[in-house]
This record gives sequence, structure tokens and C-alpha cells, in this order.
Amino acid sequence: MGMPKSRVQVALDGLIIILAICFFAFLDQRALSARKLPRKEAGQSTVPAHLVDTQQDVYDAYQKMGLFGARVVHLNRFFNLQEYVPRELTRPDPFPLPAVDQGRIYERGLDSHNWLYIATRTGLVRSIITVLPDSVFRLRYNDLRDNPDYSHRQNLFKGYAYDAPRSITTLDALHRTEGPVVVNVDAGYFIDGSDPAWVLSKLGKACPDIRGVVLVRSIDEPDVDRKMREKLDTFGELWKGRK
Amino acid sequence: MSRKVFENHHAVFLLMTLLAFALRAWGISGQPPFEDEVAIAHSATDYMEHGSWSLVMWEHPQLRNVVVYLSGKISGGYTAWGLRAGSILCGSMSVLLLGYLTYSLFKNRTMSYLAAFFLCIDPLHIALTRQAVQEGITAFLILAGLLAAYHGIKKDNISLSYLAGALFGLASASKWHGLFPWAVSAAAYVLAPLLIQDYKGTRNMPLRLLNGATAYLVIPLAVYTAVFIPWLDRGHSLGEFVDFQTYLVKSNYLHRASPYAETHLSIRAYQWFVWPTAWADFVLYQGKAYLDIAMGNFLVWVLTLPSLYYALKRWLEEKGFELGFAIAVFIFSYFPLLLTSRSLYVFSAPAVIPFAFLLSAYAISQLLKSGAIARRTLVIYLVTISLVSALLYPLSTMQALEYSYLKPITDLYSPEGHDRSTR
Repeated sequence: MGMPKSRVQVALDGLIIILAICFFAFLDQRALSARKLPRKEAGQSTVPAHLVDTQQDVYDAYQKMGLFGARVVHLNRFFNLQEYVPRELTRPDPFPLPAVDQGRIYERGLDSHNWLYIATRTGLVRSIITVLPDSVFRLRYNDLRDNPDYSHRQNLFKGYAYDAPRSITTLDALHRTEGPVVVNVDAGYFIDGSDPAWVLSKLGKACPDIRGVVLVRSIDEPDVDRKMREKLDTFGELWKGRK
Repeated sequence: MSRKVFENHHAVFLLMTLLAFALRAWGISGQPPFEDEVAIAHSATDYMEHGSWSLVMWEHPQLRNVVVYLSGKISGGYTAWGLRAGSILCGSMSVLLLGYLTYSLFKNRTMSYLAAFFLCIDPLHIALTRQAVQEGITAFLILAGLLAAYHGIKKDNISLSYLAGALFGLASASKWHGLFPWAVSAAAYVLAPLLIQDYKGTRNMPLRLLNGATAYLVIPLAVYTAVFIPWLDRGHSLGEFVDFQTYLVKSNYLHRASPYAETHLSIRAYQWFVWPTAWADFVLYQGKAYLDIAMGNFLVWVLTLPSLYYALKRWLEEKGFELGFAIAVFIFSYFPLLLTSRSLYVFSAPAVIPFAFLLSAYAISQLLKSGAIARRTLVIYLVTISLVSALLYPLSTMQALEYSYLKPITDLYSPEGHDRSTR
């Protein structure tokens, strides 16, 4: 005599539920495996810092690091997330419509104001934590607070740059960020005259797993002066000597 | 011979589907691509091959990209067919599904023919299913889900209920309009023994709840999530996926189209069945201007609210499950759109009008049966709406500017000098 129908149905439902749970777990694990960040060598406590001249050069540094799906901690007074839509993507071309590699099209329009936005479009970066200098954060606070795209609690704003989760905060308010990150430090971050050692100490506590560092001299920014670049250089030296 | 054909509902539905296909496919290669469609072609490739989130209509889920990408691959590229085949086929097959759904519910040929015919010739549905957008795809998947759900409930067939769940998951992964019929079907499944007189199913309530949770929660969630695999493959965890869905809901609520759309087009769903409303798209293509106006056949749409009233009155007298199910699907598909404070454009109507037409078909066939309206009156009405749809057809095929008799309408909607719309 076979199993009662109800038992078969319970078993079938149970099997589907288990399969669904496995499916979700598989998707989550697959996502984690898709991320590509530099590995730390055995015995290496810090990774070398890349020094670049302009903000848009950070994109090249990311490509050299082989980044994919990285979380970025971005110390700058600019967001570098200026939206850029290549003309080719909306131009009414005749049929058949071209289906080109958008990555190449986006990269052709790269500049120092949109490079991080393009990095999210091409997949190098998946999520961004923007750390603003205190004075700049105070200037932007009211606009961010009134923007319905952001939720906020004290000195932390959370929203999205298109599909990339982003937070905007100050170094003091930066929460501990678990998981590997890549850090950008722009010379323009030192606009308030912050102490590089203090910045390094705060970063180290908030980001225990830093897999890449990019230092940006911003030579194409007229407001970034020699003192700010000297602080950046000091930060770089401290980073090199960090144990 | 024609009587034999008329009595064979399979043959009639097939003929109507072929007519629907002809109306949606005619001249499609000569219809230039909208700016949105160009962006959709790029978005489809980029989403499927790189997981890059859609640039256009980005606040919606991404099934459209999957459909457009697959139809492009099958067609050998984004030709007019490669771009629009998914939408055209979904739009045509929706006519078939609405016919079968109506027949399944009411076992009435006249009613099912009317419902299918209204959808077949509706100029708004034709316009939107001639474009590579998600509206036709969503409506198709909703209708398929409802057909599977109804049969799953009536026959106590769990496989059909699983199928319904999967279809609703896909419908919602196209546009969230799929959530409303999904919820109605889930509730109907669980409460079927209470709602259906002489219900023959054998499951007790705990088993019903378990089956219902599997069919209408677990399976649709898994299918919905699967559509986002290309995006998840960019390194986004499931936690990030859930957070992002919350953000999309918020963005959807805050979404506004162009200033032209906000000021010149209908932005409230209550207007749809009260006076003629339209959505307009404009493109300048190789030096020539094209205007596409998606506007329903108002002689059909205007029957909706009186038909709803009539159907409700009948249901209160008879309390039949099938009529209650049809009314609930319409109410739950339409009323949330009425209540929202965000701007809502009539291109969202394809997820609602099949059920509006179903109720109108119900009312007409019942009044015909009772003798309240004569057969001749119905014939005159059908000829009139066919003529109106025929006259409005150029609006749906981007030929609005080529016919002088349409000038009063094109003058109303021509967005010359206004900002281009994005949905």
C-alpha cells in the first residue's frame, strides 16, 4: 500500500522548501565568490599603496588590481559619482540596433568627476562608503537630509548610486566595516588640515581588512594645494611603515 | 460552417490570437525605435552579459531585459523583431489566455469571445505590445498565472498551483503589478474550502497552508530572485538584494516621468475608465518625426465601472466563487493604483484592462441572456468599436502624423518643444 496522498504532498513541499533554501544559499555563496580583490600575501600586514596623479587615474589602478565587485571606502571631498550616460546608449540608430560592450563606451567618457560612477557601471565597484571632511559634510548635511533618496541617522546617510549601495559619513562616524575593502585617499580630503596619523588610525580601526590603497594627488584640482599633497605623502609613508 | 467554428471556442480563440498577432506585428520593421527602446537594447545585453543594472525604467525589476535579450539572440540581433518579438508574442498570447480564463471561469462562449476581442483590438494594448517594454509581458504572465491558479484551486491540483506561483514570480519580476493577482490567488487557494460550494478538495487546513506557502511564497520568491542572478553575480549578497528591493520600491513610489508627461498626460488611474486618457511617445528618426499615442478604445473602457457595479450586485445575490474571483482580481489590481499618491500613467493599464474587459464581457453576456439588450444592439456595438479601433490604429503604429483626421488628437498630445519622456 502506498503512502497516503497527504504525506506525499508534505514530503514534496518539504523537498521544495529545502531546495529553495539551498538555492538561496548557493546564490549568496556565488555572489561572495564573484568578488575579486587583491589578496594579502602570507606574512604581509599591509598591502602596498598605489599613488596616482588624478582622480580618474584611480579607475586604471582598480583595473590593475583586478577589482570586481569591490567595496570602496572613499576619502575625498568629492563624490566622483557624476552620472554619465554615453550618447550611444540612447541615440536612435537604425535597425539592427548595436549591442556593444557598454564597458568600453563608458570608459571612453571617463573623467575625474565620474570615474567612480563608471566603476559601478562596469562592475569594478559594488558598494561605496564616502568619507567626507567634516567641513564638507556640514556643508552638504542639509541637502542630504532633505533628499528623499537617503535615509539617515546622526552623521550617516545611506542611499544608492543607481544600484550601488552607498553611505556618506565622516571619519569620526565611520562604523566598523567587516569584510575586505579598498581605500582611496585623495589629497583633497585633507582640506581641513586633518592629521594623517589620526586618519590612518581611524581607518585602521574601522576597516580591519584593507586589500588595496590608492593615494590620489589630484594634480588636476586647482583647490588642492601643496600642503594637502604633503599630508597625503605623509599618510603614504605612515601606511608603508604600518605593522 | 461558420456556426461550427463559432461553437468551437478553441478555434475562435486561435483566430483571435492570429488577428491580435497581425495587429501587433503589422509594419513592425518600419516602426522606428524609441529612445527608450535603444536604451533597452543596450540594457538587455549589458544586464545579461555583465549584470549591469538597466539604465532605462531602472526602478522596475529586470525580466524585460531577459526577454529582450533572448528574443535578440533568437533573431540574430536587435532587429525590429529581435527587439520586440517578446512583447508582440506576449501581447498576442494574452488574448488567448484571457479567452481561456474567461471560459474557464464562466463556461460561457459569448462572454469569453467578447473579453478576448476587447483585448485583441484595444489600441492601447496594441501600442504597448508593439514596443520592447515590460507592460505586455507583465499582463501575459499575470493571465497565465491566474489560469493556472484557478484550475489548481478548482481541481485541487498542486502542480498547477506550483506553476501559478512560478508564473506570478515571473510576472512580479517584470513589474510589481504581478503582486496583486498573486495575493488574490494565494488567498483563494487557502480559503477555497470556505469559498467554493461543494468543494471537492481533500486537503485539511494545515496541509493547505503548507501547500499554499510552497506554491505561493517559496516558489515565486525563488523564481523572482532567479531573474536577478546576473546582478547578484556582480558580488551582491542576498542581504544587499533585499535592501535594494526596498530601495526600488521607494524609488518607484517617488518616480516622475518628464515634465511633459507630468503636465500634459494623465497621471491618475481614476481617469482611465472615466474619460479618454493616453500616453505619448515621440521620436525624430532619420529626419522624420513620429508620434505614437497609446490610447484605449474608450467605447470599451467606459463600460468598466458600470460592469463592476453590475457584477458586484450579481455576486451579492449569488455569491459564486468564479464571479467573486474575477471581481477580486480586478479590484485588487486596480484599487491600489487608485489609492497611490504617486503619478501613474496609463501605460500601467495593461495589467488591469484584461480584468476590466472580463467584467464588461460578463455584464454584456448576462444582459444579453436576460433580454435586456438585443443581439442586434450587441452587433452594432461590436462593429462600432471595431471601426473606432481601426481609426485609432495609426496612433498605435507611429503613423499618427500621417493621417489628417487624427490631427485633433495629435495636436493634443504632440510633445514638440517639450522634454522627452522616459518611463
